[in-house]
Amino acid sequence: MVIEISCEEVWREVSNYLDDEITPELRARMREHFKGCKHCTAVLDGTRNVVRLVGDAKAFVLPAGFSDRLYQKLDRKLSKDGPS
Amino acid sequence: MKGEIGNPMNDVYEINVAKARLREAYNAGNVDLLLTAFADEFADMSSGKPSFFGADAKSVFRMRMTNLFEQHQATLIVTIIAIRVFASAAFDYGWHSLTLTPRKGGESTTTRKRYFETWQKNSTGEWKINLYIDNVDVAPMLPDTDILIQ
Repeated sequence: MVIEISCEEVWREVSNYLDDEITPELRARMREHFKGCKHCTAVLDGTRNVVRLVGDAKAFVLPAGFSDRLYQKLDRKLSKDGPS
Repeated sequence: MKGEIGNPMNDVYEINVAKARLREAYNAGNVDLLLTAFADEFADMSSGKPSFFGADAKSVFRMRMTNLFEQHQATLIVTIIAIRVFASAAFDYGWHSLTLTPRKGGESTTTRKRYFETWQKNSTGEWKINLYIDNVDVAPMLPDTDILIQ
């Protein structure tokens, strides 16, 4: 018998699920939960995408001159608005 | 917090186990097993049905489920959103998706309900449902734009 698990517990463990750092029993419970819960499946897919994005350095290659333009914009904004 | 979810001594885990047993009872059409999930006296406020309280609730529930399982093969999918425990009392809420297939043939019907139930830990340390209420689920939607702007 696979024991139920709540959405809240799934959210708490979803990162460990992706990293395969949970017990086989908990893994089976979560897998069963995903079958019937679209919300948690969306959380799982979203987390998996974030992990993939963070792990893929290419995703963070910024266009040439981006940093300079960003600093200039921030300077302009800060000198216009003043310190908050 | 890690490790607590699979801890058999954990009350949340025990309620998850009781809920799994309830699901298995539905899927096996086992009324006796199903009734073990409930306190001897409970409040049954199932949607579309009259409310029953105390000892009557269990008798009526037994009769209703016996008839249901005689006529249908049931498949229950439980999605628990959250479980909250306060000493020897607890509640949980979520969805029950029940598919009924007529034993004499015919099309299956699936009804998804959102439920809320309260639990009481009895003198032997077992968690039992002492109030059950549900209503038919409605498809999710985002709030209206003017509400989002606020």
